[in-house]
Amino acid sequence: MATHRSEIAPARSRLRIRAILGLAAVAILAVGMSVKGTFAAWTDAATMQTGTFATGTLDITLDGNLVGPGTANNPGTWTNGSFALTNLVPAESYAVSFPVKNNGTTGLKYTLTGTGSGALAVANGMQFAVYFGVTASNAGTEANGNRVGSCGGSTPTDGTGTTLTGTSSTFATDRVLAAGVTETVCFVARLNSSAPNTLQGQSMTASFLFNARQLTA
Amino acid sequence: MRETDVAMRPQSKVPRVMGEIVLWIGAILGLVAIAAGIAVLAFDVRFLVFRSGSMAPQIHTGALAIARPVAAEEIETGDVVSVRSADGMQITHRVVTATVRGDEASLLLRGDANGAPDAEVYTVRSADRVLVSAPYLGYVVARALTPAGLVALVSWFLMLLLLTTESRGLQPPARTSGRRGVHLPPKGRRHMGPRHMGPRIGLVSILVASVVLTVLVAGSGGAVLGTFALLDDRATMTSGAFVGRTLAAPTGVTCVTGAGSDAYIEWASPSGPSPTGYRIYVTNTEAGSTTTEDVPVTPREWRPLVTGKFSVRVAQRRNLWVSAQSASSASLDAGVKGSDYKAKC
Repeated sequence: MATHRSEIAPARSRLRIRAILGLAAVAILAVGMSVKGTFAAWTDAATMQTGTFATGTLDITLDGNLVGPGTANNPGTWTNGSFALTNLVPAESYAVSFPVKNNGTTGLKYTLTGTGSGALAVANGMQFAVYFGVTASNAGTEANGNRVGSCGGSTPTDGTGTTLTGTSSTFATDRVLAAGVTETVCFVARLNSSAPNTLQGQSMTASFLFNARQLTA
Repeated sequence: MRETDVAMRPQSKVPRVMGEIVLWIGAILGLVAIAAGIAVLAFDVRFLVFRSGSMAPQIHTGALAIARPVAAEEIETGDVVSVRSADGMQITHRVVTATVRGDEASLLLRGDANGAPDAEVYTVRSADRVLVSAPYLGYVVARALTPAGLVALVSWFLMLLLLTTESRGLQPPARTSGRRGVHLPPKGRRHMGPRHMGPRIGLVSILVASVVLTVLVAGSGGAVLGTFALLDDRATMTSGAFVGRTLAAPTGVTCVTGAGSDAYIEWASPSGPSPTGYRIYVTNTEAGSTTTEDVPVTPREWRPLVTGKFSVRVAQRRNLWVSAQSASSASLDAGVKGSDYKAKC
């Protein structure tokens, strides 16, 4: 059977209790700080170890189409029937623009690539250009063979347009869209002014892939 | 509540309960740290902290997974493996196909929550195969490995030290029968007895070991990896058809006798956009040879430059495009004998 403490024990014990409480306060404060990430330097170091966390859903929509994250609508294809033109003569062009939205709850970045198929999808055939943040306008008539499509006033030339083939061409990489943010993407299709004679009456379709990936902080 | 000895003079229940909580948390942390340390050292396991959620619903953001490296040829379809992408990110996804060539495997991976495989095909000699995962533990580990988290851990350990060793120096051995830290609290609290000494000393050992092993695990360079299971979403816009015009052949090719009885060939403007020019197909009916001659869009006529009997067809030009020749032809006799070399229809 143990006896009571010595006379000095209560004082030293209180000292220890205060020390323990002090340490507890430090521990709780430290945990709180690491959770809230208020100490920038510390959380930077944390990023080096395991990085930050990203939760939420990822969903990129084109002109309000293809709504649904993950497997719900991934991959999905939207046929933009308005992006088409018949009776093209060399040097004619056509433009469309539409909103691309991050419809999810996490930031994303996307790459935009394009492929083409059909007899017009050859060198000096149909060429494409993509512009961001500007809208499309079109002028000219089919009867006059002088249709010109432009994005914010820009129209690709023979030298600046991109020929789309079966191999994908990259138009943009790492376009960042924060959650809920929309940006306007504008496409111009142009028949090269030096299109060879064999391309009369030929056709092609273009396909543009918006490949969105969750943004890593 | 069961009364226990908390090795400090309990002025009230609160510090005593808090002390017990601290002790137990320290003991659990210590055990976890020991297990982790042994696993890292003996079994070469890695800890994967999931920073994103494309492996949902099986593995959510913030989960902790235990993974072991496996050689390329052992990777099988359906495995969840962690690899490093070309841009240096640690990616953990499920194997769709694994193509083994020699000691390398080309892996096509897909997140369970993603509709399509990753764009990148990972070529690896080995990959970390996920064995088990637990939700939320990744958050805990990530927090613990921050400097703030480490400060918190060290504070816990110091509290443990104080709690478990307090009475060692306070009570003479004689008054505690040589048992450190065991005493009877005042006001008739029950003495817990010597059998509680073992766990108490065990706790001290565990806490020391846990400090060492936690630092070991944290600092052993890559035993704990943050990994991405990145969500993706692919949206494709397909255009309608872009169709080139087929230039119409001119019609109405005729020989016209103009002013001064000089004949020439003219034709109607073709349907569609106006051409950039015309191509004249001139057949010398006596020699049987055909030549072509490009003329501008205006004037819409052709006059011979040499003598001969010609049959003429016309095509329109637009940039490099040339239409078919006109269905009809017109004939013209240039430099007829006996005349003044004027052309006649």
